[in-house]
Amino acid sequence: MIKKILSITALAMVLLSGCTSWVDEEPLSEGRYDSFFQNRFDADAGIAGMYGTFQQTMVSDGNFRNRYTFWGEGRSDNFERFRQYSTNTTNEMHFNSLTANNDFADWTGLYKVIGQANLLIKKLPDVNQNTTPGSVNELPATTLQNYIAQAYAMRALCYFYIVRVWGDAPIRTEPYLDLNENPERARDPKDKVLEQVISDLNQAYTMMPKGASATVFYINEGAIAAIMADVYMWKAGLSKNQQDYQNAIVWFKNVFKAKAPTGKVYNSAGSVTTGSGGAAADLQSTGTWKDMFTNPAQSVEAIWNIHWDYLANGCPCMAGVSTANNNTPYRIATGIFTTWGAVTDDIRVKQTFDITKKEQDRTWKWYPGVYTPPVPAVGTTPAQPYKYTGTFGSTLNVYMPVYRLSDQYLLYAEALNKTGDKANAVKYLNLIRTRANLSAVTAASFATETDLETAILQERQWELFGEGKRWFDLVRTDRVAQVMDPIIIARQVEQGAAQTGWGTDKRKYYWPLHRNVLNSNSLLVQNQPYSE
Amino acid sequence: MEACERKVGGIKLLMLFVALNLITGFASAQTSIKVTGTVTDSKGETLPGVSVKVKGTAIGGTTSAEGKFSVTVPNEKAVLVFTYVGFTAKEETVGSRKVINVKMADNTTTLNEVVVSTGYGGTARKRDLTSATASVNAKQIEERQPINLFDALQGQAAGVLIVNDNGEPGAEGSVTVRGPSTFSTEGNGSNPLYVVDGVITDNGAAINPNDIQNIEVLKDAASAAIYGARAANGVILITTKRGVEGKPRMDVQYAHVFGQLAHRIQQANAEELRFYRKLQNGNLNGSSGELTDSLNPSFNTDNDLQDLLLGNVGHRNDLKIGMSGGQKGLTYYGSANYLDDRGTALNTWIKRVQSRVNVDFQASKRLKYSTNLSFYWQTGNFTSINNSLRPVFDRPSYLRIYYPDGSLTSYLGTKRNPVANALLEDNGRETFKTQFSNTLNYQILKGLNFTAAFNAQLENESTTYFQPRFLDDNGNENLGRNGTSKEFYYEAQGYFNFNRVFAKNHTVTALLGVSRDRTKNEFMNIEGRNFISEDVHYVTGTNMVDLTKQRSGASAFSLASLFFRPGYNYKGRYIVQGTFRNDASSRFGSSNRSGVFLSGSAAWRFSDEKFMGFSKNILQDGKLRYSYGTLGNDASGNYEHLQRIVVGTTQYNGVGGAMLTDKFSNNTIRWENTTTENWGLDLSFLKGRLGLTTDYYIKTTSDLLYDRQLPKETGFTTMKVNLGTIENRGLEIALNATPVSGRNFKWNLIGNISFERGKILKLYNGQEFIAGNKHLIREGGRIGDFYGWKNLGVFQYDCSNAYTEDGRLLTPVNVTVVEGSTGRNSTATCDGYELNGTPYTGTVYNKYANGAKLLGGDTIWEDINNDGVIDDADRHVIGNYQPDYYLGLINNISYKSFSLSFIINTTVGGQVYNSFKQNLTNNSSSNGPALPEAIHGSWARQGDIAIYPYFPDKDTRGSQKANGNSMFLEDASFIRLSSARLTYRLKPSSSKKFFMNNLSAYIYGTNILTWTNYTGYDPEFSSSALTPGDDNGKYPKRRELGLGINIGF
Repeated sequence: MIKKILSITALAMVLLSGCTSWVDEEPLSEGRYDSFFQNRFDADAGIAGMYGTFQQTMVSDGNFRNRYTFWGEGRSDNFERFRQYSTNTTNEMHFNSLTANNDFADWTGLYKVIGQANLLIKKLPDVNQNTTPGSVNELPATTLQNYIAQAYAMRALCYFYIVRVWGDAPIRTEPYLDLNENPERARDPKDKVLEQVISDLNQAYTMMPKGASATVFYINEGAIAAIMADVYMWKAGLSKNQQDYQNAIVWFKNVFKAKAPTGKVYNSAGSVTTGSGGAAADLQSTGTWKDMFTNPAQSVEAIWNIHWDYLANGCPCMAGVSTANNNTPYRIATGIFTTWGAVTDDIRVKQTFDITKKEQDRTWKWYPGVYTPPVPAVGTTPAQPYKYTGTFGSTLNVYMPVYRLSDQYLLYAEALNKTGDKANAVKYLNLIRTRANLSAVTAASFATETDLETAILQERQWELFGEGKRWFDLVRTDRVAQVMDPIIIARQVEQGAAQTGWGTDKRKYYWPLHRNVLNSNSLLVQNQPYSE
Repeated sequence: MEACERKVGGIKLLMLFVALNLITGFASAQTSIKVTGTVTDSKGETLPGVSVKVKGTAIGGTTSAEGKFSVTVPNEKAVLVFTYVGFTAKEETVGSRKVINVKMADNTTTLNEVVVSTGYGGTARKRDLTSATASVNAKQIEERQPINLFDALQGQAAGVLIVNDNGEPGAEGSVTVRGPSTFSTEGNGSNPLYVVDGVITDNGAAINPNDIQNIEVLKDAASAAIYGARAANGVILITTKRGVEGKPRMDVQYAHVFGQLAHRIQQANAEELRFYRKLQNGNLNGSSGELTDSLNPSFNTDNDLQDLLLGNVGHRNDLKIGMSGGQKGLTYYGSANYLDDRGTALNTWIKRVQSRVNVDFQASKRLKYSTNLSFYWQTGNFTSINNSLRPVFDRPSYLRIYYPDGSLTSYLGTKRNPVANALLEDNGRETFKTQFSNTLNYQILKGLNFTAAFNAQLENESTTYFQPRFLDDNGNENLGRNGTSKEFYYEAQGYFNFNRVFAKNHTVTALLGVSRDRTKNEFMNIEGRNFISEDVHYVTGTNMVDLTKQRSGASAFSLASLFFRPGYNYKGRYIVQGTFRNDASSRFGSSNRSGVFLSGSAAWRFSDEKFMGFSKNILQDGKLRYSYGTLGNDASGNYEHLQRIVVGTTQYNGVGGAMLTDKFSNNTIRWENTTTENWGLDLSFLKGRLGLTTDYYIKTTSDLLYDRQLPKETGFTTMKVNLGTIENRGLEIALNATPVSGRNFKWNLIGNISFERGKILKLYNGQEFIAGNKHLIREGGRIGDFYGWKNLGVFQYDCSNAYTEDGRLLTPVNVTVVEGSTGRNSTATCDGYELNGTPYTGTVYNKYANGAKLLGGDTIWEDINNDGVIDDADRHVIGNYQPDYYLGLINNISYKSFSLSFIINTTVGGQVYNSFKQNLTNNSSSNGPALPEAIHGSWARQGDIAIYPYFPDKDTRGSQKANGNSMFLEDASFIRLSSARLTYRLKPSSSKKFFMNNLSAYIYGTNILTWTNYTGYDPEFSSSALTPGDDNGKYPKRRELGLGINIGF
């Protein structure tokens, strides 16, 4: 019997030790990385994943989480909290008292996109290794080039956001794939980050096939040039270096010579000689101003728009800039709501938000609709200033522009102004003004360079309301304290709070690093003066 | 504990005897005299299952369910021996009698005959255990009228902390054996392993406590190591009832229970809200917004939402039927349970039907086949306050609930009407669980058995949620969700059990076996909006809008094991045992998959030694135990060793996206290893009337599995790692006494107390990390450490912010206040300062936060590093969740036909973070209410002595510290009279008149009285192991009063 037991034991031992493969399990509803990036379909999905993550980060990964707005505009004079629905997060932006607990101080989403771009840059070149040429599995060489260029440009844009919002940041250009590699990295200086951005954009521009019509929902030739122009303008604003303005101008010209989604060259005249080109015909016409948001693929002006499909991605529910199912915690600031709302000649204001809704919470810029002139109703005083017919709601697609030509024209005007070409700066400014049905201005009416810059910034504020630009404009031109101090004081008075104003500490141009981000990497150092 | 078992634990032995007698008892049938009779206890109640044997022979049998026996004896000189656990053996010489009625006397000393299960078919006499095992038997369970296992176990066993969530119908709870020893919440997490009738079950919640014959909690490595890889958190072995040969026996039990909210929290009324609106503007002389109209009835009404939502009387109907019986070779036990429970919260209810059938078939002398079949169905409605009570407190009391015409209101003043939500929302959940297990037992040789078992479980849950348009804030959109999930689990095991006595005194036991199991989960969730007909609550395809919400998925894991357990026992005086187990789990990469778990234990019954002879009169039994061993925990997600691609969570421009998972894979992860060292002492005094069991242990878990935060810049968020060590040391004392044991009056007392001290010894690179948003995990700390700032009150005046150089707070003298329009516009200056009553002339230092000097109305925080700035550096551990000790005290008192039992349950030390309160008092929404204590306790003017800061500045001057404000950390100690029951049992002779064997009626209560300083609903609630004690508003407990009747046929 003992023998029996022993032999059974021995048998069982052999069975078990040799058979740990007995318990092999494969993922059932996920793929395996080691068998991915094998064909065209994987590459398509990888690219869609990268854009999808970018879109979630910028537009919505939940109700009212539109970082597109919060980073680019939330702290400016375009928005304020909606007191009844405000949260700590929005209160902090409203009072310029950001803390490390603020949800939007977290850069994780951008680094996630960077990680995906890094992986695509590394893996895409090998995607055709096992595919038969000419088969459906093969990724055509031109598409491959285009995809890699998009990944470079996407990485550059994410770093550009990071450097503008937080300053110094760790640079990662390789995907993190090895367990043994130390995942912690300290912050690189912001200049170095900008260098990386420029080098990535150069790489992208080189690889991107030229002269093709823009595919408006993807990064294209014009978009790469537009990002680059924006980068140099930012650099120039911070360094006050003339060379950076010159570099920006080179890239504006690259934008001008690229093709719009319709196949038209954006600004053929402007691409040749500095400042001389630019025609009203290059822009979306006055009567169809709104079409470039609702139907960018048919616009001569659209460069790159985000494709938010409510059916696939849910309600965008962007605080302050789209409609949502719940009341928004952030809304149109009282200042711009009243002052711009009074400029009824401007065709844009009525199409941007509902100037009659006293709650200041209905932005309908992205939704199709037309407005008709005032219809005085009997017995109502004052008459309704205008009537809007259209649809807006949480079950509509929104296509927020990342870059478009008007933005580039006004930035270009700013560059021309800074480089002493006042006349041409005014010319480009007037293209936007007259398109909006506002009177043209003359160079003579601007005594100083600063005056003209003020006018350009004013125009940018109106033209690009809701497009995530205003805060960066104020920082680039170093006007934050000037613009925001009186506003913050007024808010503090209204609140019954201590009146400290915006303050003078320019280190607060940057956001704090989020506590979770700091907790996860011991080499990171918080931005001063944020401490709690 | 042991003494109580003695009284009733016999039922357990009975089964063993039945089994023995099946094999031996009926083998002999000779001529001569046939003797019949009835066996009763001292009260005249019949005793079924008593062994009746002819002395010196194998002839005999057991008594039937009515206590009757019939034995044929060889001659008149034959002596009948009656034995039964808990009673003194009795001998009767047959003589000329044909009918022998026997009355057996209670005996306390045979208590050690109690046999406990040790897993995989192994059993041991309780007195021979070498390990730390706690037992709870059917009788103990019955005394508390439990509706689930958590009720049944709470307070019963030392070292077993049961947290009971018994407020909501169908709610469960959590069990922690000897302190948390893992950071992980995946896999088994910190939950013990449940083994029901030999088969592993992921959760014991679905078991009808009435079906339980016995529960063994295996606490140390020596006892649990046989379950190896999943046993690190202890093992709970549950044996269900089985049939006994004889006439069928039926028990019917019915109870009706009334439940009520046990504790209420103050809510703000309309008057307080008016005051609060002024506070929110910082101006007490200002306006209170729209609320000023004193004639408007709807601004001056006060709806008690707490009463409307939670103040209902709960009703529970609980009907249980048990039936058992059998004939030679075939026995059965069957039970059914119908539960209809309406909760104290509006429109919360469950209905449950549950059934179990256990059948044993002795096919031949050697072959036995057993099958267990259980079925569970539950359906119910769980309102949205299931997870959060917020809506109950989030709506100003003056807002209408109903319009004058009696119809419900919906959103008013942007606040939902929780009554409408509770009534109109559909929040249903339906669960099916079935389990089917088959066991084949074959006796190869005497003392050698082979068992093969196969077990399959299927669990199916479906949920529906529907919110009609009426409840939408714009009133134009409805929303519905449907979800289904399925879990299928199977397990196959085969093992040999060997048990033989050599040369009279040497008992050798051995177990050897293999097992294999696999679990597969599948789910499907869909969501839709704009349902055309609101009568249809199922998503029909065309109403799907957000494709990311439509998802199905699956995952699976497998485990294969080999185990071996040898044991040796010399005269019950020296006992040793060892275990070996090898497990392979699919949760780890192939090279780290296999884990070996070893344990050894020994016991020495020193009371049997000659030198202890002197104490025999007092100390009947004394045993020292020691055990040492390792256990495992595969507390990891299913595929974390593989780098995976998630597909379809994003979509862009019509193309589905693919990307790496947020979690980085780690192919080096392996088992968590828990080493337990246990010293135990079992003593039994005064013929068993006093029993004492003491255990001291050191439990060390190394290679902890947890999600390490990865730098976000990698693009990943976390990674599973195997790093770090936790140690738990503890002392457990269980006492079991029978202070009074008279003929009519009897008092039994069971008490247990457990002390636990945990410590995190090591972490990856010594890196501390934040778990959730309020817990700090650091070396030298404990699980459950709360991290934050210490709140020292609120500055009374602007000039109160004054400190000495070494950080002592100064008192301002001669304060001059200049009143302004708001609290902040007022100023306060002072002539000078005092320190401890003496004028202070030194330099005055101030505290700063968020870049500003703190003023009156700002919170005073402890400046740990005294650098003048309140910032991250001043965060520190402000408390801990783990209790210092907890105890259970169980009393069973009987007097004639009455018996009274009550249980006191106490947890001392430990804190809970009252997030619920912080949310309601921090609430930045300007049109919600706050709690009265915040309304009356806020700083509003210079000179206010306040506990809450100045409202307008609270968010911007760092006065809140969400998740880390020590003011909301509260002492969670409580003493609770958790259950009491008074039973009247009709005399057996009287109940016979109604054709019943047994008739009793009782009145009982649960959660009767609680003494605590906690200001929330209840300091006891279950929470995640790594982030425990965060009270974000749980369904509050109910106080219950019930009436019941038990009938036995």
